[in-house]
Amino acid sequence: MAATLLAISLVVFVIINLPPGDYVTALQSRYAAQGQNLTLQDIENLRVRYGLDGNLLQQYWHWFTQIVVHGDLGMSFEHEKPVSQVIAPRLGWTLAVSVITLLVTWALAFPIGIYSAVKQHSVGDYAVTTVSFLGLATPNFLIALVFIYFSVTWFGSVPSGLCSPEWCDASWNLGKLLDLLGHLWIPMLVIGTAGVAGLVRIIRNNLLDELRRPYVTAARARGVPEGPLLRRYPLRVALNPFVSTIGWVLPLLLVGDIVVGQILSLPTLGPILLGSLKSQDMYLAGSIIMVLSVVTVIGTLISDLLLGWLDPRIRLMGAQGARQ
Amino acid sequence: MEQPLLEISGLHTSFGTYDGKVRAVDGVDLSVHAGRTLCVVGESGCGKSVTARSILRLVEEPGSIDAGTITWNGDLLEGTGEPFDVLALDPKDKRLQKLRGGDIGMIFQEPAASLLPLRTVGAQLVETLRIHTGLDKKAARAKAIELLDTVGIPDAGRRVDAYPFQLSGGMCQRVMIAIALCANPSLLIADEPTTALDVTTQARILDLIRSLQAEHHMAVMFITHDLGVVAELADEVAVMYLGRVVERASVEELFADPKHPYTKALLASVPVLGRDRGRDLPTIPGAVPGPLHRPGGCSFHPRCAEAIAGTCDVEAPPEVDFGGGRTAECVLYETEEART
Amino acid sequence: MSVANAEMKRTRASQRKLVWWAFKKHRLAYFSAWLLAAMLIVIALCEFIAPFNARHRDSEYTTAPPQVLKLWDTDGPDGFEFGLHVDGYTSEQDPRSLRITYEPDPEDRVDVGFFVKGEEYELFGLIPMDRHLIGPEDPDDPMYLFGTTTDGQDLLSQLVYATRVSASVGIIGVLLAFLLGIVLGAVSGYFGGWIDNTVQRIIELIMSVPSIPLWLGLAAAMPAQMGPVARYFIITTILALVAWTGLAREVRGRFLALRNEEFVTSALLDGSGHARVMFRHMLPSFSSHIIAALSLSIPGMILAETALSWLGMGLRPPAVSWGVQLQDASKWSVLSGAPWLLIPGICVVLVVLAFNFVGDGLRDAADPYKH
Repeated sequence: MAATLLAISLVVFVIINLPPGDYVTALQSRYAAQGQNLTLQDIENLRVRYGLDGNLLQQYWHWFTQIVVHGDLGMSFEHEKPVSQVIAPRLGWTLAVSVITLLVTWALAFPIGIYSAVKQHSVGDYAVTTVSFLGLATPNFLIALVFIYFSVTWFGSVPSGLCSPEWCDASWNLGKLLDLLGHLWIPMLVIGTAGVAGLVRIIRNNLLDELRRPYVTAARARGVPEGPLLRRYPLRVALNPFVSTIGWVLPLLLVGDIVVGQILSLPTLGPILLGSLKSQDMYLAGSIIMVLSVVTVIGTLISDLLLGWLDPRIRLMGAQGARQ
Repeated sequence: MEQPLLEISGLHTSFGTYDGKVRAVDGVDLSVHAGRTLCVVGESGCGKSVTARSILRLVEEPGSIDAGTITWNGDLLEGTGEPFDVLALDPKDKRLQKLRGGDIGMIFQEPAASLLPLRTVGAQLVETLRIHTGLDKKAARAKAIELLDTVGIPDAGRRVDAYPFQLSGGMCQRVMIAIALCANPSLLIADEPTTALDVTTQARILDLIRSLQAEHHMAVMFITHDLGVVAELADEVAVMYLGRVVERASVEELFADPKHPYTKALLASVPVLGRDRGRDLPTIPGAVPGPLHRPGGCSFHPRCAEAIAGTCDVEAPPEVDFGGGRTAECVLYETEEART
Repeated sequence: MSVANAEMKRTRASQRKLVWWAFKKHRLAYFSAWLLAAMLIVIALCEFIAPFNARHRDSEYTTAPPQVLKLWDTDGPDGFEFGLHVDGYTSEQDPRSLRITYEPDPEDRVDVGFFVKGEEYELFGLIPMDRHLIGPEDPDDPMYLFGTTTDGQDLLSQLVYATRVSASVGIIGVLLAFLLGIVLGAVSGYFGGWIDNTVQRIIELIMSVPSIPLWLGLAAAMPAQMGPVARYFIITTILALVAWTGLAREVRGRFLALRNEEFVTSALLDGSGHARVMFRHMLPSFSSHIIAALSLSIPGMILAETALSWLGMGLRPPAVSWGVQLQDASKWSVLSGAPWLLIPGICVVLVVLAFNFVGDGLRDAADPYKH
């Protein structure tokens, strides 16, 4: 876990330093554009101030300790304020949209996947399989574009943002909540489709595998009725990979947010990540990637803990035992 | 002859595959008598397991039971009800539910895989007990520990909370037997229960089944490919080849005077201590043909030492009845039947 | 053919033949394989298949709708008349928004032919030619079967060129990833011990960083003024650098399982070197699995490239890829009047599906006992 975070920080640092030049060169060209020329001494001072003197290893150490000790993620060149101030207000919304989408994704995928496995070869199963294949094959920005097309041709406009103008500045009440839900389903649809499609396939395949196991026949042979049989036996086992998907569904949702946020102008991290990448505002971009990665790592950790709680094989024998 | 406990007649079970329909069981007649042991013996792929599974209607997609009747006379013998055809029951019929795990207990080839790894053996045992006996949780748990003790699991009070993966294969099979015994069944179907176990464990499990059978007055239908097991356990024997019963006999008759050439070949291929020293064990030439390409006429004729050209490869052999439940499906005895 | 004959054929068939037979039974996969074969032809011959060259631009017709290819004409001067043609356009300018809209005009007939003379190009970069598979008889006439873009480029021609770029990014990217994955996976699974441990830790670390932000970050680091060819190769390399881990795991698992097989031991005892045993004895025994895994990882690459380019972080005009094409459709004011701009999206979905089905079909065919 700690090693993973350290590795992520290294990767992010590499990304930050990949483009030629650093924060100070960027500042320098900006001042130059305004007709101000910095002296070499000025530049040297700036470099010391931002920890950009010394070799790469020292720079990394400076950057890393600033984050760990002071929570200082560096300066955003574009927004002209500390990165943490740019990210903080948007992180909440990003997490909210992602977590709600994750829950809805599960709530949809679980019953659909079970239905499709239990009624294998039925018309419903074929429909579900077709739709989930399509959902996996369609990039989510394309879903967003198709959605926009229909929205414009039918309603003449695209509902954007997470709230209507009249509610945006209002304090929290039922009206605002309803308004939020009215807006939220669109990003959810666009972000969640691939997730639902992927999960349905996983659940279906796992359950189909499990339904053919000897323990199902054995339980049937001892008179366990079909309903409880499904619930207590194969579903219990098929639930495990489901939980372990948090690790990959969460980043998928966070990335979907980049696309949707772009089109629907949501107050989330996606749009500013894209903006910062385009303008090579590397501290901001690197920090957002870092935050997203940390969230993913935490998600994976949570799913590992849940898995251990659900599966006695992992709890009692470790992951090695469960794989056998 | 007295009314059998279970009568299978004209059973046909098949599996749809990419290459066509595989007739795994192709017209099987069998009967099991109360308190007695029937061994069904044959090479792998002969349809013996599928026959056993068909009894409790456990054949799963893409398999299906196409024809036949399976008559359960258990209720009649106990005086609690009428005989009924298991295959004609609605899947939701209470009688099917009672049959599965209630009147008929069943154990399988892979004991460890037959238990759900995520629940303790106790939980799975208690579940079955409560379904068939209506005991409350506490009583069921006490009964579960008692049952585990009966099947010879040491320290049953502690083992009841163990997960299947913490127990050995032999222990798991004992647990499966305990589950099968939950509701004092009148028939135990054992589908190669010792195949996956090592030899010493195998012997102990066989001893356990025998002693439990005596104690509970159960009938046992034992599916095996092992003639040694047959000699040890069986009262009656049915020999299967490619989905059909080719010979029926009591265990003494079978070993003393096998009729069907296949049975003879099977018996000849069993090593006997002393006799076989220094010589090659006889084997049956060829292999079991794929069930898709069943030979015409008698399905055993390509491997049969006594096959009669022009007869065995053309006509399906008749079932010759020698009386006393003894039959063989072979043209060699056709004249004999005419005599008797 | 008699039953015995069939049996004989089956027992004598090579492993490769058996897999192929099983694959053919998977109808969706078989059909998809043909679709992909057709796509490969388009990639190879795209200059010939596209009616116009990639740079072709007709500022007279911007955002014109698709035309319908017609076999005969009923309202020509001579009444009913056979002949492949499309209707030309009439334009109309909205007096207030000054926006020009195009409508097909049945009066204006544009004759269409096969193997027509058009713009000059070099096939395979070598053979100078000017014939196109299909096009207007008069190269100056408009023939836009899929409509035109906001710049007045022929969407069909662009799509043909974009297919070459997007599909090849996927295929080349996967091959690169595969090279890395197979070498490291093989070494890791074959030798085990500390080598395996080290490689596995590295894979875990790479896998723990969410892939798309990583792609974005690496792609953003490219200098803006970089040429399209360099961009293409860097994007492909970036995708491969992130994607090799999955393949390496797959290969490692197989090697681990095979390491103790008898044919491996006997090959070693026969004096074969490690490299020979790994790549001549072990690898061929699961080559169908590898091909299946490859086929299943191409869609991810294609989707990633498409998303990156659409976001403006991947390939950029004048390079055309599906993602670049779809950028044209991002403005909802444009999209609402020109839904045909989404046609490249259909292409993405079809090709991704086809790779998935072929991969699934191969996997099932290579693993007859798995289901």
